[in-house]
Amino acid sequence: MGDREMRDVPERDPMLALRDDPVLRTVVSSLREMPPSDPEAVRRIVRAAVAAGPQRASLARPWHIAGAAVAASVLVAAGYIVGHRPNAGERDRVSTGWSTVAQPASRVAHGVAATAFRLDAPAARAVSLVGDFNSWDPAATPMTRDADGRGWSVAVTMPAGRHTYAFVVDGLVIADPDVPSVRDPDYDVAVSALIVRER
Amino acid sequence: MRVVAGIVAALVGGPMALRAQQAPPSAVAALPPGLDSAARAALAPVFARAVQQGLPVMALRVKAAEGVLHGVPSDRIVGVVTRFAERLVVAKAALAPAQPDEVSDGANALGLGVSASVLRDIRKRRPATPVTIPLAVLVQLVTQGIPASRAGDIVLRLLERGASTQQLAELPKVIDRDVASGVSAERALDLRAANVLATLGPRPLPALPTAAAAAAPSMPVGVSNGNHSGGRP
Repeated sequence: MGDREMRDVPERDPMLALRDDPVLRTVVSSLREMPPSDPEAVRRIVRAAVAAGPQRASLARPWHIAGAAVAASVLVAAGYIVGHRPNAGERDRVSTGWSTVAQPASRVAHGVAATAFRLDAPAARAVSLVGDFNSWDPAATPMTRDADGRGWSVAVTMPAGRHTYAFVVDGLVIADPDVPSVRDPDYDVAVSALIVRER
Repeated sequence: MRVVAGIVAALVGGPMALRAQQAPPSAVAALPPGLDSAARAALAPVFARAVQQGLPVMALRVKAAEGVLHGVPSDRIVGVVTRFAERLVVAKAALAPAQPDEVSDGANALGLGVSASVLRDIRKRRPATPVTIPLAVLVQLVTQGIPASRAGDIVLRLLERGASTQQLAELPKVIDRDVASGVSAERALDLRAANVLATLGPRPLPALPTAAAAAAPSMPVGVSNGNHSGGRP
């Protein structure tokens, strides 16, 4: 079957391809610039180039490589962003410049960079963050309503170590609902905990 | 009747007010707002002693403020803060030389049943670097339901083998996940700690021999001086 197809297809004169393909013209002209050679050898080379196909011999190939490189760079950059974005993948892996948002308890944030907190409370009129880092003062760290109208957010910088915190929603103290709460052994109340790692 | 009430108020409130006045201004200023006068009077000397002892007064303030925020009765706040001050003293001694946050974390650990000897051993294993994260992890492990002694053992082993701050700090997080999937916290700690230990180097060499031992005839490495059996003659 394959043999018959081969026989049925008339062989194209490779030299005719020179008219159509600028790449081949370039190859041939470069060969012509070389010392005199066997004309049949030139023909074999041109035939081989034609058999390889115009795309594979195209000068556009470096652009393919560049395009692949650009695409790879975009993918790498996207991966970097996703990998460092809070709530993506490991939600509590936070890098400088990015914030932690409603992660599991015992979450780990890198120190120095602000740690962000978010709470979904669309019906609330006022929400604040309280914890050992602000002396549990409801007025110290008010949260601002997000653009989506549902969440409340704030970012605070905390020293390395374990911090306990809670939210005050319209005067009511609640632990972070997105993380397992822990019992404060002294007052026997539910709080949330966060470990901030030093840089 | 009003006279009697005035006398009672003078007898009860007078000494309290006097005690509050006798406390250093810095200690009184550290008292959080929201405490009633009785609690302020009772805590002022506690704060004053803390100043004298070089304890982190801010930690006392935070502890009292937490009680105020949660609406805890004043007498209970006084008790909690007083006991916390006592623990600060113990933690400061055990972790010496310690930074204020280390002392505070140490006091929290003591309140959860961690022994002072564990705090001392943590300091011994990290004599020149902050132990804030090891203490934080220890406290968090205990609040996750792991017995204090077990959590202390694991943290000490990890420190002894040179576990990094990151490896330590990741433990409570992964244990949370394991617990969420149905594994007990203690079992999760065993598994996770074993994983970390497997990535660390060998056990540290035993302590250097004393002068007397060094004077004794040396023995080839790997040869026991005990009565072992089954070895080559």
